[in-house]
Amino acid sequence: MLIRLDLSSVVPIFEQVAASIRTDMAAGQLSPGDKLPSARDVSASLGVNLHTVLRAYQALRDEGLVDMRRGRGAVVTPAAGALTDLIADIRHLGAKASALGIAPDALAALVRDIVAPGPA
Amino acid sequence: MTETGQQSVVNRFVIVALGVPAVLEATTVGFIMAWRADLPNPIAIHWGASGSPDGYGSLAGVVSVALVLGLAVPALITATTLPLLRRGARGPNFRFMGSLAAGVGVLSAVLTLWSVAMQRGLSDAHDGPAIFPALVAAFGVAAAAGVAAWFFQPHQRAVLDGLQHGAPLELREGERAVWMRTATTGRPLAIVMAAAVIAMGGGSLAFWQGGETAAAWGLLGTSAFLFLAFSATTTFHVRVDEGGLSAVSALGVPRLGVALKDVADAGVVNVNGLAEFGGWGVRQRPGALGVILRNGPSLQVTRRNGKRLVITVDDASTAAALLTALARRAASSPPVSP
Repeated sequence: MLIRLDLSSVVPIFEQVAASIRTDMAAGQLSPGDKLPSARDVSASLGVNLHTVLRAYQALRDEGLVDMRRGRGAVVTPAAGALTDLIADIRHLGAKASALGIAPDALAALVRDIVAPGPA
Repeated sequence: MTETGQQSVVNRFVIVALGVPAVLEATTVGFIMAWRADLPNPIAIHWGASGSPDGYGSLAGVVSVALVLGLAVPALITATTLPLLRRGARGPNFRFMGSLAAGVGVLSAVLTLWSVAMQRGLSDAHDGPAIFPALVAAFGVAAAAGVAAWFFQPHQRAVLDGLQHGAPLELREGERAVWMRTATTGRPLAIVMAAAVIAMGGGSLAFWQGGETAAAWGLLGTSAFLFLAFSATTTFHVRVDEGGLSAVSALGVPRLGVALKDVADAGVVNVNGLAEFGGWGVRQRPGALGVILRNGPSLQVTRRNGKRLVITVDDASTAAALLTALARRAASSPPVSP
């Protein structure tokens, strides 16, 4: 599991942590049943607040991607396995957008708007 | 290394790992056959803790045990190590495996010959002498033979099977990253270990019921020790971050690792546990320390002093890419003193 953080980014740190873990799930590096490392270890390695990491884990739980039980830690759910079905399409779409000169952020905004129309 | 040098590594490995044991076992069997008429039947094949014989069997049994220990074990070592040497892999660990095979061959031959020779002329094996001198001599000669076999083989610089370096991860300035993964023992190995512990526990129970309390305690202690040793070496949490590489057993100890400033190189190697580390678990070899829980692609980190740490963890390429990137960044921007 690889987590990358850019403290100078405008994206909140907890969202960056959640996004890294989500990417690992989509890439198949984290499979259903795998246990996420303890939030304490992650926060110590990254030098960020424990609550920031916990908030990232909670965000993933709200998306149904991990299951959090007392004493068991955070466990990857079968729903996370379904993300792997998307990775080929996402890579294909990304390559196409890059060839057309569309930046990843613009592509993400486009995807969000088209999938769920409405004010952002 | 020259072509002839390359060839002599393989040739001399075969001589010590297979040639020496084969000649010794053939000699042993030859002597035993020649002494057949002077030996008691049955012959003592097992000695108790006091050193006097307590188990008896046929000469054929003695010969087959000698062949399994003295020939089959070196053959197994050769069968797993030789293909790697042939493919061009080199290293002190392979040299060690050659020495080990020669030592096992010598141990078996000396122990078998001595324990049989000391029973010549006896009509009843119960009157046989103690085994201790034979044991001491066998282990002593075997250790000396192992050392001799080590020096008989040429020096080998480590060349690893399938060592690969991917591109280092591209880190933006000030970007933080951590890679974590749990390395676990393959299921077949875990089953074998569980079976060993359960079998010894069961054996202890059987001794207890048979009234042999001392033996029961001994076996129970051994199985408890094995259980602890297995638990300490079956699951490792592996981490790469600003501190470097660390691998911590799920039990808390042992802890292994390489500090970031000590990282000279990180890559992925194809590991064969038996051939390169002589088995599985936390393994120490000349020039290398291994957390070997399975065979296959593994993370290898080389320290500045040339020593290697090998961990059989999945997704090792990402770990190596991150560790390389972090080490380079740390080296290019040393901490400024105030």
